[in-house]
Amino acid sequence: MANKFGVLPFNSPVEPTMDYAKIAPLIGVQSPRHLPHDRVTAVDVDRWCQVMRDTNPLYTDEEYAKKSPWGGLLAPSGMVHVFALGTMKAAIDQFVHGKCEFPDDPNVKLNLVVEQEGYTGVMATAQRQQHFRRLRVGDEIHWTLGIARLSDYDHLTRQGVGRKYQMLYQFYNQNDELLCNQSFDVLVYRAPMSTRRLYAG
Amino acid sequence: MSREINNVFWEDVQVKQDLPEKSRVIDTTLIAMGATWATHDFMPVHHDRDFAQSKGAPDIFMNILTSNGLMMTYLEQWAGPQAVIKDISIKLSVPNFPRDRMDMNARITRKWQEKGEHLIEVAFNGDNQMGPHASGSAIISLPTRG
Repeated sequence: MANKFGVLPFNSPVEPTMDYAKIAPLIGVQSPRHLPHDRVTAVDVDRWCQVMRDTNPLYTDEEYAKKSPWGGLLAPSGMVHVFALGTMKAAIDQFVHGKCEFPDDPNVKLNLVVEQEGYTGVMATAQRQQHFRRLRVGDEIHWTLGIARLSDYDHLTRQGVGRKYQMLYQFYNQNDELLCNQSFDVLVYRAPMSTRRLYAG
Repeated sequence: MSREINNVFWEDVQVKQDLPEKSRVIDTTLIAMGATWATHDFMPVHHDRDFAQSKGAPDIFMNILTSNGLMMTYLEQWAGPQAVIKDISIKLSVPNFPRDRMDMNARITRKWQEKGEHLIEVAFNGDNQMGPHASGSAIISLPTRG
């Protein structure tokens, strides 16, 4: 029986592991191309720069940006993923009410399976962005994504026992030019106790 | 708007050169505003403490887009506006929670020319009191004096 922190004694029976067959059909499936909610605006960029304390004049100084080789305001390349994230309403619908904006996307289906299997914690663990073109104010970002892989065994992590999966995104602008390839690694886990307690040793 | 613009030139940097360290205080405002206001990430674990605790975390924690943004900004602020980050990999270890501080450092590990571009690779770290929060590497195209 678990103690008050949800930790099982050492002689507990092994927890049933996830049936990989439920996941296998989702690996390698690509989502349709999704349309943006909004264009990249100077307001979006300004908010990013305020939080990050980014003073690069290419992002916020229109006069400077016009005289630059780019001929106008850019957005920080790292923002490209921002425009693939849904509205606040869509996020609350998804994370609180379980109603997803794109229910047929492979990552949405995967998340449903892993949550049913008890991996209720979710944490992004790694990301790689390869940038091919600069992101400009006024751009419309289209994207597609797929699941590259999911670990077929449980990892013991600081957060708890979990599985790792990797999504691959491609981001395009309104001219169908590839802006960025992005890998995005996620840990889903069964949290046994406060992570802070674990870190405290 | 007039301001002093500094650019780092490819000829002036060396492999094994360390970038100046920078620190950011990590508080609830930075985590919540970074997630919602700057990066449009409305996953409640990044702004709703009760929700985060219901998912097994002790508090809200920083989303990866903000971590990536802070590290990219650290590199770009050093390199100047003419530099372009071509490729960046970031791995998260311990989360950034409120009341942490993240110390950022980086070192140039490679310097080369390719297809007319003048490139460097840097290895970077962002550490908080519990250990490494973010680590990774980036390839940056720098301007030249020529």
